[in-house]
Amino acid sequence: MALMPILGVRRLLLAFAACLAALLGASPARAQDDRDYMRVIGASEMLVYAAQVATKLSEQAQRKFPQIEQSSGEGARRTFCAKLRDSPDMMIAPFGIDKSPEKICGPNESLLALPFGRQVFVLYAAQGGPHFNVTRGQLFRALARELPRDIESDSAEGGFRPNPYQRWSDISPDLPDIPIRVLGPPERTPQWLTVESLLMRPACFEMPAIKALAKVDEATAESHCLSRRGRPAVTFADGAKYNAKPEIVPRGMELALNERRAMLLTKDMVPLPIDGVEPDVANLDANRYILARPLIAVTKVSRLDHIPNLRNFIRELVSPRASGPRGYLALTVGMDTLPEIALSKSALRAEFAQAGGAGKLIKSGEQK
Amino acid sequence: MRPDRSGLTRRALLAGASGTLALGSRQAMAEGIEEQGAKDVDTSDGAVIAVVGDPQLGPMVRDGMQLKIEQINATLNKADRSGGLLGTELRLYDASTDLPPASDVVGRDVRSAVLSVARRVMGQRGLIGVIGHTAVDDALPASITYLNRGIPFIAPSITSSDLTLHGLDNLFAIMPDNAEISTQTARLTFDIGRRRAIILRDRSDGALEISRAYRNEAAVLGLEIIDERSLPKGSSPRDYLAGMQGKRVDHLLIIGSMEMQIGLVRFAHIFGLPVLCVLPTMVNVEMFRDQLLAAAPRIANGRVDPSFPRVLIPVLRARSNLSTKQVEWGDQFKTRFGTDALDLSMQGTDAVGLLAASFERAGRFNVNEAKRVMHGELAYNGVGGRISFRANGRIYTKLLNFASVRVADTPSILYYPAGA
Repeated sequence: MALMPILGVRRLLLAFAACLAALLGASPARAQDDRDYMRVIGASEMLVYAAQVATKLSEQAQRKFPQIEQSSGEGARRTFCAKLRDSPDMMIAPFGIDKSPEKICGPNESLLALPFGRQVFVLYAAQGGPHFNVTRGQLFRALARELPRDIESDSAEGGFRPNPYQRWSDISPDLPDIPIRVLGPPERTPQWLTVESLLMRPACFEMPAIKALAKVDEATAESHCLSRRGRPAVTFADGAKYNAKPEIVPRGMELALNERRAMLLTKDMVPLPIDGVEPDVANLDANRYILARPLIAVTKVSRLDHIPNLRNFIRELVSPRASGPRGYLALTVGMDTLPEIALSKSALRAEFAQAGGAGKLIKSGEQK
Repeated sequence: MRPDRSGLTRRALLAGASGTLALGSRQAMAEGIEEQGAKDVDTSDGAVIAVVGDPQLGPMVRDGMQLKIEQINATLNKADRSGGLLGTELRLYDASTDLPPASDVVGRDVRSAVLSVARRVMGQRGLIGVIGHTAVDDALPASITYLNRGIPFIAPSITSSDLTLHGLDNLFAIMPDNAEISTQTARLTFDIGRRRAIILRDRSDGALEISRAYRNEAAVLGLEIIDERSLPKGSSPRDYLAGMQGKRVDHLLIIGSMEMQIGLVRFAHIFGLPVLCVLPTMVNVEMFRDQLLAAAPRIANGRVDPSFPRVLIPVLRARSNLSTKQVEWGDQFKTRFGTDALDLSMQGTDAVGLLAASFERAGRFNVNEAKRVMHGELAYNGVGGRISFRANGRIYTKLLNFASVRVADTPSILYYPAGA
């Protein structure tokens, strides 16, 4: 016994402490982790919205904060859809307008999908600065670190070379003869993930050489597509300053790439059309502008009335005070708002969703 | 072999007697605790928050606490008893260097030293909370001493889940546990496109806990664990790394002491496994980078071999993307103490802020009320983010950032900031 190994002594001490704990009144119910808070998971660029709503709710009603977790879009989906009792209750993620968010976990999980806003990125210049139409493909060619040697080739054999374009006119003679100077959000921020999804990935995968490479090695194709240039062509904003105020101010021949709401908060900025479409409200409502996507909260219907505050959370999220044109999500974190009618639909579905109904409106006669 | 019946009977009798004693005394003690917590703490000479720690880490926590205490006291107006904490001055009781260093925390002698410090702390008049302890082996016995008086105890840096396993009513841990750190690490490795891992770990309980959590999350995400080895102390990496050369993996998960982790990163390079090395444990990232640089093999002109692996570690703050609150706090800390703030100091600041917010919401210096607020409704917005607790007293609201450390060519630390 005298030669009891060190590990044994440690375990003995812990066991002793555990016995004492039991003796002194640690309740067994406490030791088990019965969840009294909700769990939200989302792609990292989405979580700022969940955090804002959670903050408002916990301030208003002295409530515990939700557990907010992050992953990539696909990572979030897999965690959310895992068949585990303690998987997240809600996922906030970007969905293309062609996707059906109610079906992301397969046919056996009843989900309520509520659009509550949208993310819009714009390319803009200062008043009196350059103003021209640029396509998504051209903008990608200005930002990418490397490009296929032969962009038009439908073979993956040619390899890649560093981006050769120094001036906009090098990309296409239609574009102005000025140097490529784009200011963007800080490197490695959630905003760039949105730019990758809306701009870099789709534009890159349209190139025949990348399409061919993706057929044999999608991961390599993706890593080439998402690599970004550095100075002087692309300059990243300072992280701490951007966190304090998400403002990017272009000067002279510079352009800036940022969220639309942040641009609107900066004086005298003029957005450039992308693929000939201006990022105005009419085009956004008609889904014509391509650097925009809806923000959707997907909730497990079976958890709505079991997890504390889950229903309150979705009610708040789709309410005008959060997601309306004068709501705090627009004013504080730059979310672009949905048309009033779309938000009202979400609010109604949040109010009346029940297990088994999957968020369908219940007729007045059926309502208990 | 026949069991020794007489021995068994004696043991059964002893067990029965101690059980009865335990039940009786449990009730009596529980009543005592209830009674202790029911009365408001006498703070006529100020409200005292104690810091308990070892000479290595204790002062870092203390400085962060000191900063917050001074900020709260700066709002105090003694004439009309407004400001401060509920109109009262906060005082710091400093036992930040009184414990033996965490590395020495084994055996009975240390336990008695810990308990003697804990009892001394409990003797302070006006005590409303204890913050500190950096090892679970000393924190757990001490927390029971604190529980006797119903005093809230906040552990700012312990990640072992042993700490919160028993759900002590007064114990709050504001660092995520090993399982949570490991889960968030698995998500990030998946997000950056890694899919096949080998796990190398030491044989401690903590390493096993981290490995299990990683495996669980890997199963959810579809990460493949190709192999897992638990390494005996003093074993040579040559014994197992050589056998892994042929395996197609894209990251190594290395769990153990910092020395072991750095050694394995080095050997992974030597054995031609130029993969990402993921270390799912919280360390001081600058210190880690310096040690990694010292251990990295050199090529011509003393340069580090460019193929030396990149290392990914979780951190509390992404230095390249600090929140406004963190920038302000860092400046205040530097002005006050003349040095750059460490993450542990931030934990100290948040621990004091959390205690103060709980008493503020409770409206009086009642420890039972403060604990109820912390368990049930608090979402304290600290420098490091939101703080709310699970029923067992462990924080669940901390989103980790990750540092990518590269020592080849120009040593650098890049960050993957948390999203929210």
